Amino acid sequence: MNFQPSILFSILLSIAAPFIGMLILGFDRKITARMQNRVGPPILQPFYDVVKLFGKSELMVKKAQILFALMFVGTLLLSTVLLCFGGDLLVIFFLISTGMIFYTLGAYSVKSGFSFIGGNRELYQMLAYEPIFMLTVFSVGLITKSFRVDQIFGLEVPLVAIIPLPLVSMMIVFLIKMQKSPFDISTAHTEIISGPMIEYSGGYLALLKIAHWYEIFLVIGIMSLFFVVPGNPVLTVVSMAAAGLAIYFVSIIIDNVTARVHWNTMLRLSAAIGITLIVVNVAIVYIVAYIAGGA
Amino acid sequence: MDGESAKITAIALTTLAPLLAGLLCYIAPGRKSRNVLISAGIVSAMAGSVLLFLLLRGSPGHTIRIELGSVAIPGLGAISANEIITIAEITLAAAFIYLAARIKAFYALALSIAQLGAMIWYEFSYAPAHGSEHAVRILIDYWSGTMCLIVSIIGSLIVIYAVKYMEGQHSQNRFFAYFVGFLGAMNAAVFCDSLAAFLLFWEITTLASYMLIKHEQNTESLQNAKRAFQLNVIGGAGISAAIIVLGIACNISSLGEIAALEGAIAPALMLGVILLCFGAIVKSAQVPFQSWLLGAMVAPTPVSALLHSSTMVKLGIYLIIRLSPAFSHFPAVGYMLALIGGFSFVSTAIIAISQNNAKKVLAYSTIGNLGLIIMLAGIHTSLAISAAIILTIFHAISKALLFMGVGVVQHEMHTRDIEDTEGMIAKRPLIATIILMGIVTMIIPPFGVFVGKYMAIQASVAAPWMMILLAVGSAATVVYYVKWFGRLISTDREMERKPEHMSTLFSTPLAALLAGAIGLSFVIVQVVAWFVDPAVASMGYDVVLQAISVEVVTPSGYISSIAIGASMAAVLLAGLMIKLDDSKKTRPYSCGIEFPGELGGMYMHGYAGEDKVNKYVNFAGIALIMIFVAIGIIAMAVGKVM
Amino acid sequence: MGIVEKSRLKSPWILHYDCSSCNGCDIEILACLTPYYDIERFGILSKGNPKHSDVLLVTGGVNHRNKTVLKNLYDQMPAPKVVIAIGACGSTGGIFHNCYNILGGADKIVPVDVYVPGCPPRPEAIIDGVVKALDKLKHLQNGTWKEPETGPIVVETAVGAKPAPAAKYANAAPAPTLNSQPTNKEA
Repeated sequence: MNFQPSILFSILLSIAAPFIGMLILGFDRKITARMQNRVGPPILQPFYDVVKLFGKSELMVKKAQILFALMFVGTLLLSTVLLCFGGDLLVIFFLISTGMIFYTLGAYSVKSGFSFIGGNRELYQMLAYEPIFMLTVFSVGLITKSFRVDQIFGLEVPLVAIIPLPLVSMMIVFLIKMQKSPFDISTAHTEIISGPMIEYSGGYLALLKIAHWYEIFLVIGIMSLFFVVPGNPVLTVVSMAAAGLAIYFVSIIIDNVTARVHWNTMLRLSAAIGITLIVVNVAIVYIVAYIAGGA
Repeated sequence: MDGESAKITAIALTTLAPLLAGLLCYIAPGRKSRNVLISAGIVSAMAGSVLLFLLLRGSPGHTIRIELGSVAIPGLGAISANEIITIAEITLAAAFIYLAARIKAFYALALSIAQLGAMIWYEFSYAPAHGSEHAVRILIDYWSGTMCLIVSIIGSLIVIYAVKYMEGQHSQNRFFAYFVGFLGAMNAAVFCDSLAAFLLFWEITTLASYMLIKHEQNTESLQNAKRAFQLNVIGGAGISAAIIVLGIACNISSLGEIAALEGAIAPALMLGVILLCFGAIVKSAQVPFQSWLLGAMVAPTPVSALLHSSTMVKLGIYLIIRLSPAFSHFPAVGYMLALIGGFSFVSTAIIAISQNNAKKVLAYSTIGNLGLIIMLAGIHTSLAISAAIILTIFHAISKALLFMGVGVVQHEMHTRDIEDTEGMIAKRPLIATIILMGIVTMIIPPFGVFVGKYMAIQASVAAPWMMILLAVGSAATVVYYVKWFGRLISTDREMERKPEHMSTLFSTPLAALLAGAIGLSFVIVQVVAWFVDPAVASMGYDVVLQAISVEVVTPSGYISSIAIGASMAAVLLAGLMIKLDDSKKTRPYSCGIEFPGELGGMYMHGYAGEDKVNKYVNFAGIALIMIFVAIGIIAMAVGKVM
Repeated sequence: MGIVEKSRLKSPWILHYDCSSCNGCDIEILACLTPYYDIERFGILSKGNPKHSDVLLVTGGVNHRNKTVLKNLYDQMPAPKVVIAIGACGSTGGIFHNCYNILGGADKIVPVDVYVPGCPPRPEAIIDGVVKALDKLKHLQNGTWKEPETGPIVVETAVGAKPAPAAKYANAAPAPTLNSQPTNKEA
């Protein structure tokens, strides 16, 4: 049976997407606080933050910032809609990375020291995670013989059974995207304040926050695609949600037990672990297929 | 005018007219007459290329084949076209020897002499004895037609730009002679099916590029021109060797025969193809031959624009894509090409991060993109070739735009340093915007280069290990372009609107290219239907790229440039409508004081610096090239294609 | 109370500026962030960036060097915003009040909404000050800054001793410009 999400489901999912990202962030702050023996803010804290920011007046340096912020949200929104409607995974990936380009340009557009360093670090991060992300998407395409998301639902076994290692590599991407230790390099709060976001305020800062919600939804969404159980919609939803939660819990633990690393280390880690794991996994798949084909 | 003569006219307009206009430029008495000649040359090239493409659509089988037999010359009787080509080739080789001796380029001298001897022996002693045919064959299919359009239109726009750029500089006659002639030679090369004629025009582009690079006549440009000359002579020698090997061992004298071969393949053919590809790799400045193209930066910017975007380096691409159907007989060749191209792509992308010279960044970007195209040609699936053609078209447009933009900056602000152009959007919004748009069309969806890259990734499913190179390379590409973009827009206050003067001769070609880069990206469905699919089909591939309403559909995915572009444009327009009044403006945050320092950097010299990386890159490049050629020789030795 | 107002009370982001404090107050502010006091449970985050912040905490007396900095930081905060002067020096200049280089408390430069006296004030007092400042935010509507009618609030210290009223609320006084002359010759 080929599970096709209905159009209504897709629409609902794309509307719910930012709120899912928001809840993930809210739980994140709560769980982190509990791990540190604190009470922590309410679950809806990210929501309050954004509503408050929309209620504030803006102080911007120039209009270009607004354009880049809007383009950032716009591309991620487009990408989310494509993901929810089972579009082309490569296009989804490229739209995310385009969004990040706009985000970086928004940082660069103001001649400000912290913003500039934030932009630079954003680029280092892109250098670190884009190859991993791209190779993961590519290995999914290699296994499904197609880059369409809906084709993943037509596989015989879940992707994670064939290519589990890219998922491990994707943790690096996820940590970077969540702005979490050890890779919270660009927004390094205590070091360069908020990096790329520093020159934004009020509603436009809220836009960046919302874009961040989308981002989290997208990365978790793509990672949980590995857990699609073909032919069983109920189990698929359960396993995808469980996988998303598990990934996310692991990321919180990593966040709490590590300190921020230098971008040098990040690049080396991503090349040494991220890319290698994917390559090893794809090689294994090929060798197994070769042996099976030869036998 | 019947069909046949119309075709001959169109060919003559695109090839002979620019060559002739170029020759006449040499002896033009003044500026006005030279400008008239230049205009005549480029107008006929543009008109001819469009006419030719239209004729191509109407021709049977969508190909134009012409055999030039003999030409009757009054007083001399009939001379076969082949003899004319041979004589021209020998003259050119003699000129090369003279040049090489004069600039003390001893490798080139030795190679040229050997090449001349070999060609004379082959053409006058071997070929007549073995009854080789004498006709010069011209074969124009959609791929040649598309190349001709790229060369003629983009090249002509660069010529218009050059007229203004070179105003008031020395020896303009000679400059424009080679500049305009270049277009003719380039067009002629892509039309030639016969290898001997192809070699002639190939060598003419080498000569012309040498002359253009050394235009400034200072120590640096002479030195770099010499390097370009030496390396390109090596490439030319590769082609000559290929002609002799193919002629003797396989009795093949044209490109079309190689691509169309079927059945049992002689190992010599493999060696011949490898030698041809070797020549193309040199021409396209792939690692380890990248130094000539980087050195060519000393030339005036229009020269760089011409060499990088539409001509010269694209000739190597043209040749490899033309030969690509043959790779299915010997997979090792395709694989090695893909490796060489992919390696060039990733290494130049990384080195480009460390560059602060705008022209050098562009040069590395060119080499990288050509590497990507060569990699795709090496993969030689239908999708890969489609992607390669899309990249060729859009890369030519965007790169010409970028070079010309940087040229205007150099011409008026006298700097090539990216750090010097910080905040240029406030000082020179017009030209800054043009460079910014050039960068955007290189990296951001839904523009053409992006679509090409998107398809390249899908195509590399056929050769998955290439994907590692592709992934790292494209991430690095994004980094250096975004970094540059960021420098240009970095200001601490809103820009002031002030009138900005730019010469029409600058603004017209720039506007045309900008419109082309954006417009063609939006109608990419039509580009696929008119240029890419027919070109792929004309080389004998199955067409796998479908253009369905607003989507380009590949076998494993789909992309709708129009939908993405329209949504992004809508957001952009909405953003432009937002007003930001002065009460909502503030200064950048810098701990409560005015930002005191200067921004800059992020060149990652520790990872990407030329001095750190070059030795490894060159070593690996040389090793790859040696393995590549060795494969051919081994194939000959063991008598088996691989 | 609309959702925006409610959110405003639930997520005050703090900018902490040390004018010329002896760092006693600053250590107490940092103590608020520790798990023991955990101000994040009120949604309070220390942002370190005026453009993101709602609440400005000022410690130490204002001197001629940092008055422009304080003014700039205040100006770069988007409305609605509140200012809290922490400690004796932040409120009045403290024991440095007649020092040759000290202008006085933060209220000489920016309109202070809440004074938290003490040398240094206890973290509970600081948290109390922030919570009291949030009361002021209730008066603000739709993001426009409405002048508080209540005047400045003085937080009672933990020991219960009510300090003397702080220096006169300086809201009406024009903020010094970059060109204003220092009162002493050395500066």
